[in-house]
Amino acid sequence: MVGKNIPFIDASEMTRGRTVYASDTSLPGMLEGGLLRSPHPHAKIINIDISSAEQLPGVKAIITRKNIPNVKFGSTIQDDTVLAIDKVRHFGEPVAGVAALDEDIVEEALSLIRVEYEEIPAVFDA
Amino acid sequence: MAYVRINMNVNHDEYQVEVKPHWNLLYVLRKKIGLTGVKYGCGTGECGTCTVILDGKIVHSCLKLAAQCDGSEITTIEGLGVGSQLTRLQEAFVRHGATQCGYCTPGMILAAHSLLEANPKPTVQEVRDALTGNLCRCTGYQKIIEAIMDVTGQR
Repeated sequence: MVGKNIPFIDASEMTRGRTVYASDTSLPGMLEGGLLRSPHPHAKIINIDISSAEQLPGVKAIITRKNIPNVKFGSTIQDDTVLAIDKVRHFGEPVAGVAALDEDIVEEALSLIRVEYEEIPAVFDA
Repeated sequence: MAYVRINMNVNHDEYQVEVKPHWNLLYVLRKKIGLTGVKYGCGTGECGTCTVILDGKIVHSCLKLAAQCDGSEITTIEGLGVGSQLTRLQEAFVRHGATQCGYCTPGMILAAHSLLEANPKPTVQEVRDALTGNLCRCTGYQKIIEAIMDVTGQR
């Protein structure tokens, strides 16, 4: 084996674009998911209104702080919650999740979720 | 929201698709036509994994609205070669170890293919320039360049 040119077992598939990655799979009954993320770095969550989003045809589930387990996770310190609960602590923190029939419906559903925030001071510079 | 009907020739097959005005070509190719060889990498035109040949030129399909492609001729990675036969370029990638995870590979092959159609004997710098729209996080590009130069009969 040493000194021989052995091609990668799946190289030829890769050059033809035939390799199936996770995002290329499609299973019967599969849904697409998406997260609504905070546009604020630090803000209290006053209210989340999912009523319009829930009514959109093709939406199968929407979750918010009301639906998540009472667990904290993290690799070094376990201080992260599944979705933001009382407030958001960084830009992009997930606030709600949607599962729907396709990506397009997910995006539209996310745009229909109304979150009322109250911005609070944040540190941007040391 | 109203759909727009578009006609496209993709890899020598005719397709008629109803698209929403905001859908990009990448989304339509992958999700509506089922060509998953075209990859989603960044969605912002920086990585090149969504590369396709559109009316003779390579483009980032994530930056093209599907509705702009009515009447267009498109080649994806699936459209190169005949059946499971590899093109010389694809064979060279395999032989030179120019693939690792393979995610950038379809885009790289199309960019290289497009270059060689226009310039059959590029210099190494010309190859590098032609691949500026395609990122690779695994190989460090060296093997990719060697594979392409090999196909041109230059070393």
